[in-house]
Amino acid sequence: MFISMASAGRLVVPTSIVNYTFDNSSNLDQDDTGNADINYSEWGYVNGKSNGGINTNNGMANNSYNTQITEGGISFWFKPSVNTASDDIGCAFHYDDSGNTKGDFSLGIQGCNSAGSGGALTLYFNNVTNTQAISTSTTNFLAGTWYHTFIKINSTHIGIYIDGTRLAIGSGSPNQALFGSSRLFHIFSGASATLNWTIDELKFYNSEITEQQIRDIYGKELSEVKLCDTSINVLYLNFTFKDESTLSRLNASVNLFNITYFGTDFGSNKSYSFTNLTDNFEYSLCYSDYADTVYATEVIMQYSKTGYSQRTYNPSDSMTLANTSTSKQLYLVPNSLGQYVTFQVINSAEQSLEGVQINITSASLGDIESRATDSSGGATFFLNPLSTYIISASKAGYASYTTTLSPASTSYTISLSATDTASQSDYMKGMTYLVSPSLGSSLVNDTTYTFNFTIASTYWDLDGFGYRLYNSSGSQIGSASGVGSTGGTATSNINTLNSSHLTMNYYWIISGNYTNGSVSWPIYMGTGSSGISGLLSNLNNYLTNGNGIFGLRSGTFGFSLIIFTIIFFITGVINYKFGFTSPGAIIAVLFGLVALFDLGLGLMPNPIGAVEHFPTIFMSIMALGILLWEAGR
Amino acid sequence: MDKRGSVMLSVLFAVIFFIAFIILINFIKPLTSETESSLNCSDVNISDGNKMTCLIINSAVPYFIALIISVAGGIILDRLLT
Repeated sequence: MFISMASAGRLVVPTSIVNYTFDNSSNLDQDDTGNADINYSEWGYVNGKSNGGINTNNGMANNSYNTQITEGGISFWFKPSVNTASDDIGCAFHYDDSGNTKGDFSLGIQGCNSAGSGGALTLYFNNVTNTQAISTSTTNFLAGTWYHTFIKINSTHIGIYIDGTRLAIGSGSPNQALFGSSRLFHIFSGASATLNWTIDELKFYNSEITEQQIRDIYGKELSEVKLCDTSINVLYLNFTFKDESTLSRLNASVNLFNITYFGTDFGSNKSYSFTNLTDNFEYSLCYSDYADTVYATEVIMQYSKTGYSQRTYNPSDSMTLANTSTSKQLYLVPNSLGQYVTFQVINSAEQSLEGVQINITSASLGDIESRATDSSGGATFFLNPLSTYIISASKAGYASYTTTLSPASTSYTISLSATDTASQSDYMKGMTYLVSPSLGSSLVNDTTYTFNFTIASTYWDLDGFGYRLYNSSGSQIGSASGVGSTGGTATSNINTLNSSHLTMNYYWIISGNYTNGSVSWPIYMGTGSSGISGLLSNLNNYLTNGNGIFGLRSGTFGFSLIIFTIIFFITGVINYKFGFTSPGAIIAVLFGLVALFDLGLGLMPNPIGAVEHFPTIFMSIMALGILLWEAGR
Repeated sequence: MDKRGSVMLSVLFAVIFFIAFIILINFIKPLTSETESSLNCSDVNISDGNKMTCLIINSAVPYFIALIISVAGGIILDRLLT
C-alpha cells in the first residue's frame, strides 16, 4: 500500500491551438487541430522526440498562418545537428511578409538573419516602438541532444524557456499586427544540409501559460515509461523468459502489460499499457532520458507462448525503478508438463476472501507467478506438479500463510485467520528531520534563499526523500530530492518572487510508501513598507484606486470637504491654544497645513488642474501678501 | 545635587531609555510586515475595515518612535524647566 501523492492543485495546461506532431510522413495535413497544411517538400522525415519528426535539411516551408498569439506561446522540441557554439544551424521561425529575409519575428541560432549570436538561441522581434533581441544564457546546444523550447508571450514580456527553465526574458511584446493573415509564417530553415535542426511536437498556445504549466508541458512530454525506442531509451525494466523445466530462453508474447507509476518530479500517477501478440526475446521498458526514480505501484504482465499456458506476474509490492535497470526473469511451463491449480482462500468462518495476494515462488528460480484472489476467493495458476513451489498468501488484517508443496492436486484451500489488530507500519519511527529556513524566519520577496530538507532515519531504509515548494497560488516553484538509505539533505536555491507565502511539501519514501508533511513561511514584501512612507503610500493607494475608504476617494466632494474641515479645525485649535490673533500668524498656519496636505500627503483637491499644486501656490501668494501688509502697517 | 548634575542625570536616563526602546523596533517591524502581508495591504480591493487596519499598522512604527522621542525629550525637559 502507499499514500498516493496529493495533487498540488496545479492548473491544467490549456489545449494548444496548433499541434503539429509530424508523425505521419504520408499525410501533408500534419496538424491535429485542423490547421492548414505545411509544404514539407524540402524536408526529411526522421525519428523525432516522440515518434516522427522533421529535419530542416536546409529547406524552408511557408504557411500563411492566421492566428494572433496575444498571450500564450510556442512550444517545440529541437535537436541540433552540431554543437551550436562552433557552427551555425540557422533559423527555426520567421514571421514576416516576404521570403526568408529579415523577419519581424524570428528565432534561431547563429545566422538567422537578424537573430542569433555565439551559439545562443536568440529571439528577434519587432514590438510597437522598436526592435528587440533576447538570447539565452546557454550558448552551446549539444549535437544530438533534444531540448524543449517554449516562447512565452504576453502583453508586456516575452521569454525563452529551455527544458522548463527560463533562460532569457525581455520587456515588450511582439507587435500583434505582425501576426495577421497577410504575414507568412515560415517554419524552420537550416543553414545547410549538415547544419540544421530536427524539430518535433510544434504547438501554439493562445491563452495564458504559467511557468509551472511550461514545466508541466516539458515534463509531460518527457517523463513517461514506455517500450524503449530511439527517443526514450534509458532502460529501467527488462523482462525475459525461460522454460521453467529446461531453463532455456524463450520468446514470448504479452497479452497484457500495464504499469502504474509516479516519479519524484511530477505530482500524479501515470500509467502505460501495451499488448504484443508476437513472440519476442525480451520486453524493455524505458523512462526517456531524464534521470529520475520511478515508483511503480502496480505492474501486471500476462505472457504466454504457443505450447505454453499463460501466466501472470502481478506482485503486491511496489517496485522502485531507476536507470540502473531492473531485470525480471519470467518462466513458462509447457502445456504437456503443467496443470491448472486453484487456490481457494477462506477465513476462519469458512467465508471466501477476495483480494488475498498469492505469490508462487521457487527457491531456485525466484518469482513464478502472482495474483490476487477474485470475488470467489480463488486464484488459478499453471504449475508443474513435479516442481516444488513456495506458496504464500497474505492480506492486511490477516495472518500470512506460507507453505512449500509440489501441486499434485488441482485445488487447494488456504485458511487465513484474522489478526487482533491490523498491522500498520509506522513510517515516522526512527525519523528525525529538519527544514531550513527555520520556521518563523523572515523571508523577503524577490530574494533567493537556500531551502533544505534534512532527514535522518535510524530504523527504516529510505528509498528517497525531498520536497516541493509552492507559492501562494499553489504553483510549484521549485523542488529538490535526495537519495541515501539513512537520509541526507535535499537542497535547492529558490527565489521567493512576489508570493505572499511559500509552502514546502516534504516527503520520504519507504518501500514505495509515501509519507509527507508541509511547512509554510510568510513572505514580507521587501523593506520600506512600514513607517510613514508605507502609511502615505497605502493611504494614497486606497484613496486613488479601487473603491476608496468607506466611500471616500481622492477628488470627490465629500473628501475635499473633509480636508478643508480638518485644515480649518486645526488652525482654529492652534490659534486658540497659542493665542494667535494677527492675520499673519493665522495665514502662516493655514499655509503650512495646505502645503502639508498638498505637497506632503498629496490629498489636497486641486480645482485648477492645469496648474500643479495650485492650492499651495495660491496660499503662498496670500501669505506673502498678508505678511507684507502686516510689515507695512 | 545641583541643577546641572540633575540635568545630566536626566539626559543619561533619556539616552538609556531611548536606546533600550529603539532596539524594540527591530521586533516590531517584522510583526507589522507580517501583518501587512497577511492583510494583503497592497491590494486596493480589500475591505474598508482592512484598509483602516493597514493604515493603523503602517503608523505603528512611526507612532512608537514618536512615543520614544517624546518620553526621552520629556525626561530632559522636565529637569530643564523645573
